[in-house]
Amino acid sequence: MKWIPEMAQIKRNGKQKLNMGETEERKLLRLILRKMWHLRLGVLGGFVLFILVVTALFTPFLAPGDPYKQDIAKRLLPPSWMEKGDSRHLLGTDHLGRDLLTRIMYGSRISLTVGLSAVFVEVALGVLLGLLAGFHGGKTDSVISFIVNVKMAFPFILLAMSLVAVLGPSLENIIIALGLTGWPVFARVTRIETMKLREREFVLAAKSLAFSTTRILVRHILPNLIPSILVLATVEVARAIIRESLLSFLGLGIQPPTPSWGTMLAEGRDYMLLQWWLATFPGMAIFLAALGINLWGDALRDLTDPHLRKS
Amino acid sequence: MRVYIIKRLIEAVGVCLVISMISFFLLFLNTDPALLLLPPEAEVSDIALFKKQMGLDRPVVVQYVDFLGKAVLKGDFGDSFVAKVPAMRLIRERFPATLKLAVAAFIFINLVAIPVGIIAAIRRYSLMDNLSTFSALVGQAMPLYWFGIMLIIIFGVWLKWLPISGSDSLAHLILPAITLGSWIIPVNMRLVRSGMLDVLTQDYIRTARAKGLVENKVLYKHAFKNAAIPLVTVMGMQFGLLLGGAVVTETVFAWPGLGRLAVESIRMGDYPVVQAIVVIFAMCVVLGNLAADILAALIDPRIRLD
Amino acid sequence: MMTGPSPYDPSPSASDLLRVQDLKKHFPIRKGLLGRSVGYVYAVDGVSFQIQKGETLGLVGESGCGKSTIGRCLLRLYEPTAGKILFCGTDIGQLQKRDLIRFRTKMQMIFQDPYSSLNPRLRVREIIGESIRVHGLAKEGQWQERVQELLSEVGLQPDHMARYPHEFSGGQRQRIGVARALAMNPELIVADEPVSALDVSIQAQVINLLDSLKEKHGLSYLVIAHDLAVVEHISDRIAVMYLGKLVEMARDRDIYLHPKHPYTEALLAAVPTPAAGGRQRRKNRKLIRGDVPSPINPPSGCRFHTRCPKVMLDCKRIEPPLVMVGPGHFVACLLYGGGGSCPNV
Repeated sequence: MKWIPEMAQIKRNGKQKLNMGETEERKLLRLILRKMWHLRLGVLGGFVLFILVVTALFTPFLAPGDPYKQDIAKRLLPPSWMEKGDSRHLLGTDHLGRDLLTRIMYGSRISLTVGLSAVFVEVALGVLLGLLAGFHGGKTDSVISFIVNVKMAFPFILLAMSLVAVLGPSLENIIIALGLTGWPVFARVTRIETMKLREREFVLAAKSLAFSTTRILVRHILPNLIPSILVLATVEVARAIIRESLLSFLGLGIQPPTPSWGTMLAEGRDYMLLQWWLATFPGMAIFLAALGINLWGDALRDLTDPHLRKS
Repeated sequence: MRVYIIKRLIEAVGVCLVISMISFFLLFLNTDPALLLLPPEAEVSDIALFKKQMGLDRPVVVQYVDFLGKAVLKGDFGDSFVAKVPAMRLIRERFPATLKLAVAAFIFINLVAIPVGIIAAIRRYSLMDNLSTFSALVGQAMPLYWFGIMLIIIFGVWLKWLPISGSDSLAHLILPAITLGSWIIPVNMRLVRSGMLDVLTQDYIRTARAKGLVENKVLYKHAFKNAAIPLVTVMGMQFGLLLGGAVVTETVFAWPGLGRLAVESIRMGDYPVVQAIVVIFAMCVVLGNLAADILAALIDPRIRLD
Repeated sequence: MMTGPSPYDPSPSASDLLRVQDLKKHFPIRKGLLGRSVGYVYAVDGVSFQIQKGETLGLVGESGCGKSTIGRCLLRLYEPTAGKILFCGTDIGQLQKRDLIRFRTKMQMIFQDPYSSLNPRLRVREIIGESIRVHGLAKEGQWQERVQELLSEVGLQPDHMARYPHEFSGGQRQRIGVARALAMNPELIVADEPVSALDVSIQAQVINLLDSLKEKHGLSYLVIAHDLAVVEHISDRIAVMYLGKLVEMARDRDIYLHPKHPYTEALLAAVPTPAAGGRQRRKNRKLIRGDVPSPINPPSGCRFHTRCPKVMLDCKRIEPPLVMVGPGHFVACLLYGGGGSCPNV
């Protein structure tokens, strides 16, 4: 609410009636709606995100079937609107007769879980290192920056694949692998922001008030970093989802029969000549999820920092 | 200027070294070459003897230094466990294919991104501009492999315009190149656009126009050269993206390049090959960054004051 | 003139709250492969002064002359390159950890920019109250009352403590800064350009606030400013700085009525508000030309010689020391001796 400057004013005026009988509350509503229109893409993205989250949370209640139930008699059925389609399998079935729609819905759980957890790891690691590098500067900075450079020279794929190959492809290990590969971007941003902040006078004031470095970092610098990190984290979730599906697609991620969108894509690839739907819909799910999150993240960034140029 | 280059070179070497170390240890932890190379009936004593012969029972650090020496001096990364030939030979065989793909993708990217970016900047808010912003958004969210598969389905299966696998002719190159490029085009396009926008609003452009220069000359001589700087920097960094994307693209299109080799080798635990690929990839990325940085410093003297 | 003016050599007295001896702060400029220093910014280059208990010293000078740096060195936000800082007789340059914390409670700072000196994410009550809670300066659970107390002392409404800094005006934010400094019950407050960022009408209010607090809490001040008019009202003594060195130091009235150093005269001539003897002074205005030289490469001899309207031959060679020219009045200028040769006035 702080983000819309007019809000503070309106909150204070409360329920005073203006001329023409329009209350402050009505004005507030108009303001919100206007803002939402300006950011309509973001609202759309948010809506998609909302669907994603709801689907992931309530899958057992929403999904039409069982993601693991095989029915060889009904294998490779096309989507229900095509001929030979079955109305009970809206998007068709895969090579083992499992309902595609159900599997896609269950896949959302995996994607969301992995995405959020991986970003959590990335943020924890990246922000910590960035804070230390930015605040202390000097040698600490050189060392950490060097590590960041090394990490960024590694193409993600190779590193992640190697990690998973070493650790074994389980859900936790994938999260770890993704987390360990994605943190540099947070470290970089945190470092720069911290370096800018540590020269601000309120940090100097905190130092002169004899607060410990930890306290300064946590109570003074970190809260001012949160807007940028939050926006970055949102976009990173989308990237993590794509990366997880990439690993699964290459066979180094979630193993079948667990329904990860990436695994489904890999399975579908074998049948793409004739049964195109097996590869199309899971991929579309990934795409839409990532797109929605990105749109919402962009809108979030516009909200919290209207000074950022739209590029 | 010289100082700058030297500093960056040392850093580059350091980075490559650390990467080789990390990948060595990672793979060392993971795979046991003795088990891979010997038949499954081998006795424990046989395994121990084999290890001793191959020098696999020495401490890790010693093995690493040995490896480093052989790799740097002779280019010998050991023999592939799977193919039983020197790892470098496999890489050399597959390298041209990846190179072809990367170059094609690179051309494609810049052929599209630069003109569109420029037009988007010149005619702000026009259809072109909105299209480019839109495609940038889409491109960011699009999974590369899905895009490739979609292209295959649409152009290869339904429309039957282009071949879908194998690498014989130029026609085979089109779809993979487009797929690989599509990942990077949005970023480049936005960069060109914002770079041009930045420059176009500067006063010295207005001065050039006021002097009566032809619009085209204005654009090219003054504007584009300055806008090129961020683009050049990013081009170097694209190496990493291209290489990474190549891994995926080659898998999707069954393209016989390094990327596919990498995936297969990792899956089968063929660690000399993996090691070699990782180091080479890293070197390419680092060199690419270095070249871009140096180029940028050459163009823009301000950067040299690092 | 007698045998020679006596140099500035203040003997330590018991009522010294703060004693600065030959303070130097050089910032290295790093370049090259290994980050070698290729030069220094001589921000503060040998400054000495004292402040007695209950006294207010005003430190004035142009931007970049090093005065803010001195303030920060005093609080040990920068580490001095050389020299001693004695607070109540203790050398604070050497303090570590717990002693440093204890000393920090005695000396506080008010910062220049009201818009960046308060953490925008904390409410005012936390900004002021944090130090109270961390250092246990109030009884358990009573810190909020203490915050309200402080707020009313600086002239703000106590129930505004739940607000955020951006809801206040510039002048009010400076008051919050004052309250934050007061929370530690300091003995000395360094005010680093406390009103430079405020409108003129507000400036007077804040200065008056500082003045009234001085009496009430027995505070001593070091007020740093670039405008003589600002410090006039509140200072007991004034020190004038130029390019890292003190050029004149005297009691408040003496600076205004009998300025000795050419630089001080020029600063006074720039004061827009009429002070005592103003019209006479303006007639004799001697303008200085040129820009301030860079502190990386200060001029030889007397640093002011490149712009001084009264420059002499020797000024380029000899760096004049601070000498006494009257009771409590010190000047560093060859016009008043210290150069080894007779001044020709």
